[in-house]
Amino acid sequence: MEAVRRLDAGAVHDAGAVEQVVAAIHAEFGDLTFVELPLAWVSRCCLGEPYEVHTLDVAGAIVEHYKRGQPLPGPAEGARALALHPAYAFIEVHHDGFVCVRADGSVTRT
Amino acid sequence: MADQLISRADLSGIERRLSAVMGEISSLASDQERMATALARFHGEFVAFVAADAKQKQLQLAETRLVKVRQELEERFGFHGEVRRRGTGILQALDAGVVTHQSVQDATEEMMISAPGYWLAPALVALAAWIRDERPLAEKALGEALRRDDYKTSLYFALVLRRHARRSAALAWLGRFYAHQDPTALDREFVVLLDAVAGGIFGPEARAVTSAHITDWLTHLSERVGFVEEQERRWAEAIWALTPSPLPGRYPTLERVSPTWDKLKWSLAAGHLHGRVRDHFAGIFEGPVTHSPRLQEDVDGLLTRLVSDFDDQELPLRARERELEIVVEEGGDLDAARRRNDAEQRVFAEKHDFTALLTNAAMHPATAGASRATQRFAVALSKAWVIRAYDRVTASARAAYPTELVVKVEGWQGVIRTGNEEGALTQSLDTWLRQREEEELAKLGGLLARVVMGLGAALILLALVGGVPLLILGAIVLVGGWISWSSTDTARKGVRKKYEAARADAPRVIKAAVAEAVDARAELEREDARAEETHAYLDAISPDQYTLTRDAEPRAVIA
Repeated sequence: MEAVRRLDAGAVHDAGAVEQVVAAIHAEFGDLTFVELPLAWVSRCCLGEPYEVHTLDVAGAIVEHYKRGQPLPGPAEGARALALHPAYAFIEVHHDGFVCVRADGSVTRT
Repeated sequence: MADQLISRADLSGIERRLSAVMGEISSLASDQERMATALARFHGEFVAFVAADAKQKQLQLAETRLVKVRQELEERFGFHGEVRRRGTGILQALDAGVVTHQSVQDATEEMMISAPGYWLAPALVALAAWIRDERPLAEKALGEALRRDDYKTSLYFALVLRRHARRSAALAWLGRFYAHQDPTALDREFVVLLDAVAGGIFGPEARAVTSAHITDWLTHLSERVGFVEEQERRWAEAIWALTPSPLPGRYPTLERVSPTWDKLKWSLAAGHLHGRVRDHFAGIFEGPVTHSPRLQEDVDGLLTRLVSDFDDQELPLRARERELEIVVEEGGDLDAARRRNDAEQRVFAEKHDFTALLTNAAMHPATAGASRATQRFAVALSKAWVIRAYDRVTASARAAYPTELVVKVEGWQGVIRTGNEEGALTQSLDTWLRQREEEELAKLGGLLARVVMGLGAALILLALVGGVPLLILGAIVLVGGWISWSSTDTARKGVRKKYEAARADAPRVIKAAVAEAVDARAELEREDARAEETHAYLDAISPDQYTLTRDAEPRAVIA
């Protein structure tokens, strides 16, 4: 939670900070195999208009910003409406659905 | 000549004979047709006769077999019926207090001798001994009854003792009865008992005993792979079923011009689900619990049925007897008899999965015949699954909210995202309409006609030096050009008028679409906000409130 929150707070421009976030996520999911890791994380973008959401792809440690109307790749587009919803801090995109994570750490699987 | 005479004579003879043959053939064909009809009728009658004969034979066979089965029942289990009649009589006598202890003792001891193997006989002896306070005999008879049929003996004493207000003893027997239950295949007796326990018929302590057993079942069931997911899926399905139908006519412009309308319509209906769910569960937990007078009768009916139902040993023969009775009732028609028999067996053998019972009681109480007390009990036990299922339903509904609405007018398309696009969309549509107008006008032509008219005018001018022929030619060309030009002019005016109207209408359509999009978004957000409220309401349900205490107190909304 904290790692992804740091991204939202604006660490996106610092490549070293992004790598730290990725390392923290790997530590959290340490007991999962690589294939079981989420495909991506999607959350609201704090850069302001015209940007709407951003993604973190753990495989490539890339943070990508998406403008309003710019489609997200693959299954991540389905998470856009959830990522924009204020009830969720961020959304994990898995091959078989989404995990919606709230600010208190509780999760809901779709 | 002679040849000709002979030929004529031969032909007429041949013709006569040919006619005769044709006539016979025609007659044969008619006869054949009649025979075919008669044969078909005969075949139909024969088939009907064979079927009727088969039915008659089956009927006679069934009647003969029925007599044999009933003889066997009388020889082997004849006295069981007597035990049942006396068992019912003893219960009624105990209720009324009109029979002496000695009479009851004599009646029950005789039954022990006459009905070996039948659990009800020693159970009645134990009951009679208990009434006379003869503990050793009661314990001995009880042991024998339990040996013969533990399940029915436990249920019997739970019901009898409850009837005579011996609550703690009834509770002990109830616990023993629960120990026999398979939570994935519950008997109909359990369903009635659960309603009775939830309704307080067995007293408040019974809820604690029942919920302890049920918690144990659920703990074991939860260890099975996929069990928890199946419960969440079942509750999610039941919650989705509360989604209201979309209200028509709320957003007419979007319905007309937006290909995204169906998605929006569904999202709006799903948004209204949150309020419905809150109202549904509030209806369960708020308000008084009224005891149905039928509940007491149902429990007593359970006891009556237990005493009067056939013993397990007799069941195969009784089932065969019933099968043969149905064949006789159906006049020997085996297919009809089999269908009726299958239907009867299905109802009789109906088993209930406990977790399905909980969902049905909470979400479909009318169909399940569940009281409000049972609904509260069911939801309280299933709270964790209900909340996870509800959250899942909420997330699925939110994932489907359209983040943009497409608007289509003729061949033009625009997108509404924030609700601030009215000016830009109106301008875009206007520009597009103007371009289309120019394209259509260009297709109509008229340039050639003007060129021809120009040529005609030039020829007329040249006539000043060229003379009359040029004048005439020039006039013809000019008139021809003018006729051609004026015919396209009408079409051009039509095109201009059409697009002028479209440009006047465009801002109205865009304005209405954007306004409706903003209103729809506001409605979605307003209804979605109820999701958190509903989640909090469900979270505040305390299972302890509804499993240990007495009913009839309205619960506090949120602690």
